[in-house]
Amino acid sequence: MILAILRKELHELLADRKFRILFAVAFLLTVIAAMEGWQRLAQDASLRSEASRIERETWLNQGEANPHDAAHFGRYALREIPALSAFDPGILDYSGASVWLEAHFQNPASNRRAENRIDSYPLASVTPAWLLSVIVPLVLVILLFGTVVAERERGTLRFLWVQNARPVQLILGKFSSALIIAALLAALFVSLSCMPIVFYQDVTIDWLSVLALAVCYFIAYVCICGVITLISSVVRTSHTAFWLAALFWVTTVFGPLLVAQAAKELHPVPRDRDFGAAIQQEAQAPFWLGAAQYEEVAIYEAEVMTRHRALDAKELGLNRDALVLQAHERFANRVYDRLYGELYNTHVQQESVLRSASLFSPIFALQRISRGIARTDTSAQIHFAESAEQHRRDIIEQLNEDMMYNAGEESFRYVADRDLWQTVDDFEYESPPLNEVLKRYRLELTSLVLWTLLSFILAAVALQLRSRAEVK
Amino acid sequence: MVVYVASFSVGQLLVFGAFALLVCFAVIGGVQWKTGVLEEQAQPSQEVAESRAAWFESLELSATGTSVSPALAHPMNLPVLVLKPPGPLGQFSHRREDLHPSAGVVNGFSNEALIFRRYELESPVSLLHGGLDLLLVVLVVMPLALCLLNYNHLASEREQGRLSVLVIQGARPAGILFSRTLQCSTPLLVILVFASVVGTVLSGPTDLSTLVRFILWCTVIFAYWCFWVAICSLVATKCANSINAALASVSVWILIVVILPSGLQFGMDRFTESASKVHLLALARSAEADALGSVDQRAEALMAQHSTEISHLKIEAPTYYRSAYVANASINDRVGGLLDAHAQKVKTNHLRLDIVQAFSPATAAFRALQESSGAGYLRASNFEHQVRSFFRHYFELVGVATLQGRRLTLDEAEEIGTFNYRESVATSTVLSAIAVLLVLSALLLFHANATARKLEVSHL
Repeated sequence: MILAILRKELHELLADRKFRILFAVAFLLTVIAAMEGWQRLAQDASLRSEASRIERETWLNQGEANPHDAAHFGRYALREIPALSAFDPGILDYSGASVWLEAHFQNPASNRRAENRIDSYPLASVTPAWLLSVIVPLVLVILLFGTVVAERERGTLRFLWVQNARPVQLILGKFSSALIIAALLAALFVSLSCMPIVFYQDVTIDWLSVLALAVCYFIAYVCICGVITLISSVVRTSHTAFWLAALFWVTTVFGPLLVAQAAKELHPVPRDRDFGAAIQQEAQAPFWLGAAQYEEVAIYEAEVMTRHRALDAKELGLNRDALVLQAHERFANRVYDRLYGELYNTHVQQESVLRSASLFSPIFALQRISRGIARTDTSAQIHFAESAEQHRRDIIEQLNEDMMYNAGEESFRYVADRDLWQTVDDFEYESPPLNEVLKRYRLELTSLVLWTLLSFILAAVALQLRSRAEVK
Repeated sequence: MVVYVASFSVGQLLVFGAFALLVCFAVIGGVQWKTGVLEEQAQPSQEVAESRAAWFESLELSATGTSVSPALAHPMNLPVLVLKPPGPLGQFSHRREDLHPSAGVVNGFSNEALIFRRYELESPVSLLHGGLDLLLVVLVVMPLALCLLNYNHLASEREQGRLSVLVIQGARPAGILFSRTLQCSTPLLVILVFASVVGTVLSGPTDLSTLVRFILWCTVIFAYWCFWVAICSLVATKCANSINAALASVSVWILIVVILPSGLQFGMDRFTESASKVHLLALARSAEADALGSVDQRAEALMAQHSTEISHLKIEAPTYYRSAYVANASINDRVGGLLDAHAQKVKTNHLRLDIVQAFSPATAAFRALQESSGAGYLRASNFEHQVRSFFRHYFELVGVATLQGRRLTLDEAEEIGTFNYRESVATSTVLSAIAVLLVLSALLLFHANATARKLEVSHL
């Protein structure tokens, strides 16, 4: 019976003109979006690579200078463009693309791409992820809203009950066809979207991530089919089923806008003026103008002595100015850990509000997972900013230590040259691994699976109750 | 009134209620946002005002021949606050206003690439989603509510066979359709206009230019509403049963509100070039390195990046100021042209959009609403352009004195003046959008009327 229903469902779907038109439109849009994604990736990656080259040359060719001057001159850490950003740019346009690494100060990522974009419309632009997470579910709504209720309206449902078919069998048959459609759509559209990236030589694709994306889209589509089947099983007319399914789509697509606003108001970020003032008052003034310097320098000096098993700084010929500079770095870094920790924590808290919204919206859950796997989510941005900061600390320490060990009495008159600049590593960023990402999004994944199971069970129960009434 | 309300079904009343609630949220959020920004901008204004007063006081003392430290009233240290106030009706379209810089302090240590350097602390995900503002409600929710309220006016009658009876009794399908559509759609327009009035009044005193903007804002809302009423009427005449009418309504909504504007945005992104910030950064960086190579006191020049500390420590080093000036002048030479070219491109693209927006009514409405309220990318770009012009004027006057190693005269200092953002409305964008929407509405209504007439004949 299940197989018969499955065969009939697939046959009806393939014969449906609506299906062919919608499929063709979605296919065409996906091809265009995939090409655009590829173009965007190529352009961004080439700009980044050119900027990195100029940055490196500028650093190396700065000429002779005191290492601390060089630390003030600073370097830029530029964000890597993740290969899968061609599929899902996520927050990439709205997050800083570079971090300035300089002495004494930790800086947040800045230079957002969106600031230079002419916004002709407030809603999302055409990207493969947007098509797959917003338009394909709508196609599913249009195709499937009548899946059960239309049978009831035509009277075929009563025949099925008379032939001793069970509601669970009917639901299983409908679900199996949904599974096949979902698998086809996910596999076809995800691979189609990622295809152009393959031809781009300069980026490496993590195929496991692509597979994970396809699986997540598959689960989400099954889930959406499940919800629509549930709606179709519960209501009396196709008309109501359509409006409820459309309402479900609208709510799940636009609801997150409201949640994002709530998240922003519940967990406001500090004002940049206050943040800058806090840095001056807590990381700079207490050390340079207050009493914190003496203790901090003494602790650091003792550490250096222990490291070298020496009794006196003079014995090692250490330059005291550089010692003080590095002591300040250590002092300020603790303040930055706290201030930036609180800032990132606010971002994470906003994220958790949005995460809770994904419990109520499978489409939103899917969008979040997709961004995570593409490494274009908030966590990836925080990871980049933290990696850049670690790199800053390493560079400044290296430069301060060079001055500490080599400047001697010359202090700020001491100059280093290209030989030292060459030893300073370029910023290399490694995205978090896939298993870490999936672990972070387990709530969203659970939400999708729960929605699927619940919709299946509820649809079966609803149909069971209705079938009894109809047979009577 | 009671009779009018009683003529609506429970479902329709629910739609009105939900719509009013959303509008209410949007307006309250907008007013709160605007008040917050104004308060925030008042604080640095106070600080900079005090700092300017101290600077002028020292300059006046020095002019009278009193001995004043070289670090005080130095030309490079004259601070000028540049602020982009919230748009006159910015409370209605504040969704992504946090994205662009709205404040900065110009002094001799600035350069054109870094005038707006600031801590970008906003969460990217909240910028991505933006907030709920009245503009979004008008643009996205109002059409959906109109579709929901109006799709079934004729289809249900046709489905149940009542239309023939009504036609035989002398009723005209067009009359039934338009009266029902107007009855169901007018409350939405009233809610929006009322909310706009309340939002404007709550945001503080209004002047004549705000009033003009308000009239434009309401006119665009009206034109967009007319367009959707016309669309709904046409859909209602075309579909023979409720389910097809519902499907058609939603499809049209998706097409006009989501697909067409996204396609247009896609085209703009694809075929227009915008300056990359990363590219600009690399150029500024390279210019900075060249400049540092050409100045004699590199260490001092590098400290130009720490103007706050320098003024705090009251460093008395003429070469330091000169080096900082030379370094920044070199950076300006390198990136100024690029920024000008970018501003020009923005204007050109804006004009192109004025033409192609006719293909996407939602885009036309969006741009017109944004322009009339005073928000968005074009305004941000205008602000940056005005600040750069001001900065060039400032930098030129300050530069002469700095290179000559002297203070500004009081007249020169007065000539620098203060920065005031000059508001402007791209009236061509607003008026062309209104025209496009009204013409489309008229065409659609004409078509709907013709279809309804055919329906009448066929039912006779």
